[in-house]
Amino acid sequence: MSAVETPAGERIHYMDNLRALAMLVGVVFHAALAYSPLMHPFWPLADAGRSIAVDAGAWFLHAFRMPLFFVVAGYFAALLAARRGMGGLFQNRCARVLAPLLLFLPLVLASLQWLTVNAAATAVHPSPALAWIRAYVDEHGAIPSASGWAHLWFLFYLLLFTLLVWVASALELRRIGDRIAALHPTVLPLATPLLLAPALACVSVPWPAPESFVPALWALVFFGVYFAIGYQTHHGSAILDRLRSQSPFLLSGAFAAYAALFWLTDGLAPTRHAPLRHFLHAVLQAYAGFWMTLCCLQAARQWLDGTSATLRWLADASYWVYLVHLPLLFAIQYQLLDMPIHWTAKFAISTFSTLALSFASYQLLVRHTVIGRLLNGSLPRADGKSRVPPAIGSGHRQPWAG
Amino acid sequence: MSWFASDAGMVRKLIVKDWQVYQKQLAVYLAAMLFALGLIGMGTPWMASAGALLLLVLLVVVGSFAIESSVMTERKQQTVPFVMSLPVTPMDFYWGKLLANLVIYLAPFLLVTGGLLALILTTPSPDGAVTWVVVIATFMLVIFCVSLCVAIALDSEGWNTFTMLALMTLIGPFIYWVSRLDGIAPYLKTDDMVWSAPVVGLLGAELAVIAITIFVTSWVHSRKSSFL
Repeated sequence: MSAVETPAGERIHYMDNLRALAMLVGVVFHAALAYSPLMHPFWPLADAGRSIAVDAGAWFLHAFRMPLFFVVAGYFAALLAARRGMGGLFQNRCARVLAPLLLFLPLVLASLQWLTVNAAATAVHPSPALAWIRAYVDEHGAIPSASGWAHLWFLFYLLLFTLLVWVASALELRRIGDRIAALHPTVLPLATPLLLAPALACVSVPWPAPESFVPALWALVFFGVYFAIGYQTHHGSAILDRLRSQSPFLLSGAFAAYAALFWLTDGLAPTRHAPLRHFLHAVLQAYAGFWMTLCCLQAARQWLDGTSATLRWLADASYWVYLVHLPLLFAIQYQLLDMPIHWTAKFAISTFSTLALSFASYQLLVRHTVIGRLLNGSLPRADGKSRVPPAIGSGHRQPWAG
Repeated sequence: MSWFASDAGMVRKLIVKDWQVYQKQLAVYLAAMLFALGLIGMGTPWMASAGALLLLVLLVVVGSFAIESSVMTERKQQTVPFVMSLPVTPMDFYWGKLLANLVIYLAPFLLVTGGLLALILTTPSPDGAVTWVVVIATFMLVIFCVSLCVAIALDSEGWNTFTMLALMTLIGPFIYWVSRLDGIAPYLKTDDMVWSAPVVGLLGAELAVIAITIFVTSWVHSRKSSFL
């Protein structure tokens, strides 16, 4: 059954489950940064132990993790607009995205800063970035100001894309999406990465998180395309049906493109290359990310489109985990800096501890409390349907989808 | 003689009507403004300059567009006599036009001003420029409000066009003057955000001009006879 035909009030299982898994991948990715040779000079949590295998794996996940989130977000935005209209979409985004962003941003920034100041003062084996911060604090008496959205940048861009949904609706741009969806199935996977590549060529490889308070054009274009694809997917999943037979080629192509990128950049080393060479890297990154995103969507439709109490609970918890996992990870990995154990053990400990604390706090402090209602709305019934009437219910609890 | 609308619901409908009629054009402006903010967010000096200039131009253009299309063109198309033949008082119509235009202008205005202030406060750019931006942004708002009120109050297309153009020509000299003002210039390249007496006075004067203009226009309209 296509998403359009899904009766109002039911959850879109494969999207819910995809989001839950992408959230888990996000925690693994952020935990891995401490053991990434690429991030070692810049990341305050950087550990003495590191391996190029971490870079190979973590940055591959990075290539499609956030794009996938934006596809899911675009899909749910279309679902909300279809069920509640543009006013309902804006109302929902203000309640579920803007309000949590304004509420949690100061808490997240303050906790990250406090943890970093504390670690800079106490760590026996500080990372290069932490050592620099310690020297800066010693000289100036305060931590250098580095304001931005932190990892909550996704919510900020989600709000901007909600505005652009209104722009596209006012300008009746949906027919462009319909025309693109009607193209030969090989055109989309071949041409889209070429459109994404110029945006990626504006920034370093791998692409950085656009955390600045002012939106960056490359990120608006890059993630906007993924959001638009998700939006269009809701209007007609035929585009995914037609791409199903290509999945094996896309999967192997994505691995090949990433392998070529990794090899050409000497393991993603931050070397300044000639513009043409840099553009080639951006093209490879775009192909790897886009094709993996399509593969994940196909895989989710095939294997995750069913009810599972565990996955549903994970999907419900995903917003809370997304909000709190980074401060928890900072707290844990700063403690692990001075521990004389192998980096693989530290990686496992930090990942599982962060997830355990996030999930436990969700179950004990959020799920049945006002915070849970702020983030997710009312709890769904046991049969998977929302308690609110279908006319206003979204059929899924977290339209933020990130 | 009443200064207020007789029917708040009718005023709301008139605002929604204007918003719906011009939402396509406004959508284009909003997209262009996001593009300009995105250029600024790229961080390179030339892109930031291009983005800031584009924002300023868009702010001027969106104000002119709103006044030109929702007030002057509607007058030419005899929309006003038609609307006034409906159960609407002159003050309902006046408040509908004034508030609709303010809503239409304030949406991009707040986006642009907020974006510029965010840029200054969140990047290594000197925070002293905040007062400079606030004074200039408020001046843009003054120009819009005066142009709008003149367009609502005066039927003459010539006078309206002259007022808009004359006020627009003041933007350049005003920026030049403010950039050299004693209470602003010394802090422009520092991180001190100083709300000096000249800055506070200037902001007060700008807000006073807005208030007086709206007051006078309201008074002019309140003298019109209502047959309801």
